[in-house]
Amino acid sequence: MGLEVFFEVYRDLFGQIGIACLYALSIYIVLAAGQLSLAQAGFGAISAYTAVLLITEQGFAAPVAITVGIAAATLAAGILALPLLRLRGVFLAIATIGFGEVVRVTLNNLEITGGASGLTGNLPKVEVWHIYAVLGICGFLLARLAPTGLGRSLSAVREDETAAQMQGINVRSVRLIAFLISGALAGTAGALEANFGFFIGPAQFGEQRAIEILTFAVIGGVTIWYGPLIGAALLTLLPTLLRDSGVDEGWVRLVLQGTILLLVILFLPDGLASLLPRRRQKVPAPSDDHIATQPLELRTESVSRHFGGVTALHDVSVHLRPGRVLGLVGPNGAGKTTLVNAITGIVPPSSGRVLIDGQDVTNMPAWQLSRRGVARTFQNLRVFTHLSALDNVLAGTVRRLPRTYFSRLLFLPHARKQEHEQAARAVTLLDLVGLAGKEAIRGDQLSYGDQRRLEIARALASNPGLVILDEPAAGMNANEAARLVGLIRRIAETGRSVVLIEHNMSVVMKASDDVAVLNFGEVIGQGTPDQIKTAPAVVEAYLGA
Amino acid sequence: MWEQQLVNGLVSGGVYALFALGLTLVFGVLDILNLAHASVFMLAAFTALLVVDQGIPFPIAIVVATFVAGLLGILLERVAFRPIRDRADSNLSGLLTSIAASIILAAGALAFFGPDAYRYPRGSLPDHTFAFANVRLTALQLLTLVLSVVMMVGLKLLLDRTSFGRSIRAIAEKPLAARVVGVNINQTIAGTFFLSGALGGLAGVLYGLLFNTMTADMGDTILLKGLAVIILGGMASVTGAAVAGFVLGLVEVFTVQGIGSEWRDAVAFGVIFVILVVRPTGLFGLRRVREI
Repeated sequence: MGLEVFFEVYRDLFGQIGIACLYALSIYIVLAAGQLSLAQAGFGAISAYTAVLLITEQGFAAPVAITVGIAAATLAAGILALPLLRLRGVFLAIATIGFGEVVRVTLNNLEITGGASGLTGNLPKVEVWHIYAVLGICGFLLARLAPTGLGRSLSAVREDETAAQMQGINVRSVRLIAFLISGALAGTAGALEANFGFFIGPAQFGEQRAIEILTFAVIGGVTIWYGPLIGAALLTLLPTLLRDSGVDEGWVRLVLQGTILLLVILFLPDGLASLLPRRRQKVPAPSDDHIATQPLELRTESVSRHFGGVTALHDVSVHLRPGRVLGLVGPNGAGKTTLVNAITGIVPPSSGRVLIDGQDVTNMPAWQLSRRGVARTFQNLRVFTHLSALDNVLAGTVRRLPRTYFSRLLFLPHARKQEHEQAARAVTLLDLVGLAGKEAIRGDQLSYGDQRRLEIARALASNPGLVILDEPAAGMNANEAARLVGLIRRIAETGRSVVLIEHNMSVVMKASDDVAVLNFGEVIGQGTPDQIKTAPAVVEAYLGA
Repeated sequence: MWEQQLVNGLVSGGVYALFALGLTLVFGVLDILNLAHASVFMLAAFTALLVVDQGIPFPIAIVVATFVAGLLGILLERVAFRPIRDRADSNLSGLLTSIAASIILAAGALAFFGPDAYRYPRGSLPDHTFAFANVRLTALQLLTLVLSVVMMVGLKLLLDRTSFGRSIRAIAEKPLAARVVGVNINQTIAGTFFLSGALGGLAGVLYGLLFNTMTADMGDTILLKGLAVIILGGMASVTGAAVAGFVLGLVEVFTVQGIGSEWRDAVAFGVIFVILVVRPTGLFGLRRVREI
């Protein structure tokens, strides 16, 4: 078979693969932000019908109609995202399945959309090379995104929304952006699809299609942008491969598709793309340029917090002077973590005020507080488990990452240089906390103590003036704990105030300038470590009457 | 007229509720949404048909098909859910494995039965009709209503009063603690999947009997209704799902009467949307608070 004949015979197949790849990119971007969306087929339908109706009814030129179609799908994604942004996981999946069905039922019932028989009469205007040109551009735009601020924000949101917020990432807006890009990509796929063949109908945008698109991403894997493309190409080729090898029954294809999907989830959770060799992350040498910062003053005024009838905090007033270390101690359940959550806006106080440098920040969302220079670690670890130690720290710097996206698109050298500098600073932080040589190890493969150190490095990455450490010595042996004391003192010396929650009394007493003792949600003692050691109320709380 | 619609709504509501109870049980215990539940629904309906085709009376076919559906539930658990149960993202990977399982099961049905619609053989089903005032109720409708209510009450008693039920609730509350106090996790989860499969299967058999058509894709529409019901009922609430099933059935028939039958399927999604946006915990659900 000559090459030309080959292309002629398989023209439709090539076109379908390209379109499937565009849908795959569309679901990649939402999954990269951890959002399981089944709305892709619905966005595609909105764009496809808009484009075709504009051409056949209004006489628009195809490029204009396609552009309007893409805009309509993007708008639909934005409108859908606003109410759905508060939903997570399976709830988001269900709601987006619902959206897809509403689109399908509407198309089935409206007269203008031709009901169940769909729209005919639009002549194909899109060539195979058009599809691949668009796919190339979209793929390039996504491929260059990964190490930018937005790219790192997407993976931080996917890994852990609470931790992402504490790094200054506005989770809602990142999720919204992911949805908008996804809508635009699905709209591109839909509009091209509608102008590649003679016919569009509601059945081609139903739940089956939505699930097929999800399958592309799962089989290919979403840890890198081209993963879903592998899945899309494979699954779209499958029917032709089967037909050419003499298998005509539709169920064979379904059995294969389902089995591949099941096997990939069970045995290759990161998809087929994880089988391909990946370039090793380059770890630069540490840089010595330390960024000095202004230490912040923290004051809580009569902060209380109730959970139902339980009073977790009652009238808590503590004061941390700039550049000092405040140890916060107390028995389990005394309210230490609740106080930190109240300060950082994760669990807002029921009453009272939180002041930072004299400004009222009560009820301020965590991400805004982070942008004011507050960072924290978490008692039950919230390391980004699928990212390397270096990427964990870099995700902590997203607010300070230089805006390199447009320079990256043009491969300008200064983008690379800036990214390199940022990475070098991250390596410095990893060295500081004692993780030198472990930069490339994934978060979940680090030991417990190392994960605690990594959280400290990540917290420092946003260059905070106030660092809150929630039980950093938990799980560390005596040796490691002693080194931790040195680290905490160094953090304070570089111009940062520190709140230290800790059960290990020797760490607290050595590292703190002042100590506050909480019991049953109330402050029962405050003073220097020496004063606290001998205060009768404290001794009673710890040793019993 | 409206009395007749009320009865029709309650009958289809009973089927929705039974189906949704199966979804709810699994979601409550594993936090996993089992989309393959719809395939169990469909396969059970075909199983009952195969049994009746052998000349066996339909009441026995109901029992056999329900039992087979329960076994299918256990099989699903072994193949699709147990391997990913302990993963950190088990709720998402479970959703995906359940999609894979449903694709495979649907393909199986397509291979055996093809895309055609099947009917019960003539004369194999009762055709008695009861009439009260201006309401007509077929024997099969009555059977559906009675069976669905009996199953709901039975399930509630099982969960509240038996040690097996306590084990299920313990795992739903805190899997680790349940293990510590000696609950046999694997056995209890397998039992839960048997119950879930049996409920979904019975719903499928009744649906097939009521409408006397069985197709390989009959699970598609019920799945979306089941999702609407569990969201309305609060995801993991058994009472909620039971009540919400009837609510959806009633809302649907009155929508058909008021607006038109072509929008019937849109009702479920309207419900999904409104509830998720306005009150994500459903009518009966409780918000779960996690420690940070």
